[in-house]
Amino acid sequence: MNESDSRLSAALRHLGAIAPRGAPAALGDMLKDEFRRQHARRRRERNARILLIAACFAGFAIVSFFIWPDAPNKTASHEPVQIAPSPRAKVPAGLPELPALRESQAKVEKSHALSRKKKNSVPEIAENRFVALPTFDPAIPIDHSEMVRVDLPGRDLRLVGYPVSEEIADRRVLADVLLTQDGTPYALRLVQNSRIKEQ
Amino acid sequence: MAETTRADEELYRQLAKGREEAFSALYERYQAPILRFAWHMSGNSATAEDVTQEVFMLLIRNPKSYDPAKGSVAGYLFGIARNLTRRRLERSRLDEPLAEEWAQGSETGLASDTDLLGDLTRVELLGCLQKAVLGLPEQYREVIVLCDLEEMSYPDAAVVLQCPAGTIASRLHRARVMLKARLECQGCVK
Repeated sequence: MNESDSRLSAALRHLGAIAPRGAPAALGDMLKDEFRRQHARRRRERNARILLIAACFAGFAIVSFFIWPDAPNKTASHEPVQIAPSPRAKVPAGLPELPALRESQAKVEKSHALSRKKKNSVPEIAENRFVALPTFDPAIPIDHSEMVRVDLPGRDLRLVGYPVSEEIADRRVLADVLLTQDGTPYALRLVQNSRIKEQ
Repeated sequence: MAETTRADEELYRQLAKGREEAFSALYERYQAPILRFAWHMSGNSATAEDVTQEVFMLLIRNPKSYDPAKGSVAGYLFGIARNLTRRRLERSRLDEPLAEEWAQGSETGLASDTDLLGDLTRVELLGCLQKAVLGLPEQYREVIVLCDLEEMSYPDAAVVLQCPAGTIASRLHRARVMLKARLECQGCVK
């Protein structure tokens, strides 16, 4: 850096030194007041939105209570209409029944029988034994299993590895599915509804 | 700088949540540099104050507008200040009045160490220098303002101007050459 450069730098520093050191205090106060106002407004708006949403939910719940007070029962009474005849005879032969499953199956059936008695609902009879799905691994202990009943097109059973004949494939079927504790289906049986039997 | 950037980002997050202390901290940290930057870029106190006010008003009204992925809080604030100053200058073309105000301002700031700085530190010559700075193209004026007038390091200026530090160095060198040439043309230095 030569002499003229250093003189220029010094002059520029001096120029920088005479610049204002900061904004007036009034500006800072005004901005802080504005910040408070803005955020108070935002909080009010947010609370109003929350209240509005809560009111909408409450309104919807009240309306649905008065309009559809027995909606679940109606659905239950319509359910059998959708159920196609059970493909009991069409359950593929050759799939092994699982001795290991019998115990849990018995438990589940017992609890279902009890609950059916309690509810006095349409009696349903499990027609078939549970059949192991390809996902079942006897080496893995099943501490807790859960059974769910599903109503679905027959061909969808193929998705979990249950072999389905062409006859059932196009119908809706009722099936009990046993799930492991992590939700993996490991056994399945087809169910026949007594009403359908009567037909 | 990295620590400051992280601290700023945290302050900004708190500000967006409505914490007044965070706003106060950011304001205290940046109001003076932004005011001086706008003052050096425009040469006008009123413009500098207006720009500072608008920068922080934007922060208040639209706290979600800052995206940490795009740069530092400092770069964001200085970026707003640059745009606002540029817009003001384009609108009002304040060149002449600025120089006058500048000369008045510099009279109060000099007095003591004029001898040390030689010719250039004399009031009228500082006026010349200010005029020369204001006459520089904007990208050169910015680096002179940040690096020479505000004594910011190259990396810090690079963060503020969002360009590589090497670009800052080359622009600064060129800006000084241009500045000297302008001062010589104006007859301020021999």
